[in-house]
Amino acid sequence: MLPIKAHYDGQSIILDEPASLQVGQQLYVYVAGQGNSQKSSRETLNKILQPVRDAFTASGMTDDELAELLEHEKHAMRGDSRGNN
Amino acid sequence: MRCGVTLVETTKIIERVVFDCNIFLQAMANPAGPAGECFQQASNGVIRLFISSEILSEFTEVANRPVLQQKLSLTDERVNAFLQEILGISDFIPNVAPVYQHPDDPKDNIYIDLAIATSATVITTRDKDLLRLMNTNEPLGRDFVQQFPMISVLTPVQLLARISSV
Repeated sequence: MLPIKAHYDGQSIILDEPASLQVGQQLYVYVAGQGNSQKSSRETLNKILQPVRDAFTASGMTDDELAELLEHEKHAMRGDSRGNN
Repeated sequence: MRCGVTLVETTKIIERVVFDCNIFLQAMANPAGPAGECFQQASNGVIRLFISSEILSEFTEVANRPVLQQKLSLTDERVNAFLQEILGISDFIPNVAPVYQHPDDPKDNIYIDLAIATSATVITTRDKDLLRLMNTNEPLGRDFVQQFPMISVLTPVQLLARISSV
């Protein structure tokens, strides 16, 4: 089943499990519940990750430099784990 | 329509995609960049994302590198929170059969094997060894494209361009 996109309270909501809409439940109640839940969890995640995003900004790195750093560390990690085996 | 709710459309899934673990880390640190936008497209259901335990392990191991913990203020709580988000928007494939053997970096096999197992059409990465698989001027690329013509290895910018062209 394809996910359904809905607009509620100014936000886009992806309803990827429309089958969980209970028989007799009004659609707007279901969508509002899904929307509030997704909004709340996104806000919580953004709050938790804000220090990571602030640290990236403070580092002065560009997005390309970040990608290079991550690739460097990934290959260093792989090299370390080969050495440990 | 009632009480401000509008069902807009069914979201058409354009691509089946496997992300390199570093695409997740890049999206986590810089949601405004191309990797962040790719992650958002997965979150919006425009692309269907697949993940395996091997890729999750690599994500965690890279996130635990002291250099990254220090430069990006990564902590267990922050990494685990993003891990939950990844799992929430991905299809988790628990057992992936080993099929492909990358001659230069066998650790890249996990991405190609997952793409094969899930019939994914795109692997998104900034890894030069994986991107080389698209270089048909080399025997490595020629062999790969001949063997797996449905799989494209693309950078985040290339994936976004491909999505927008559909």
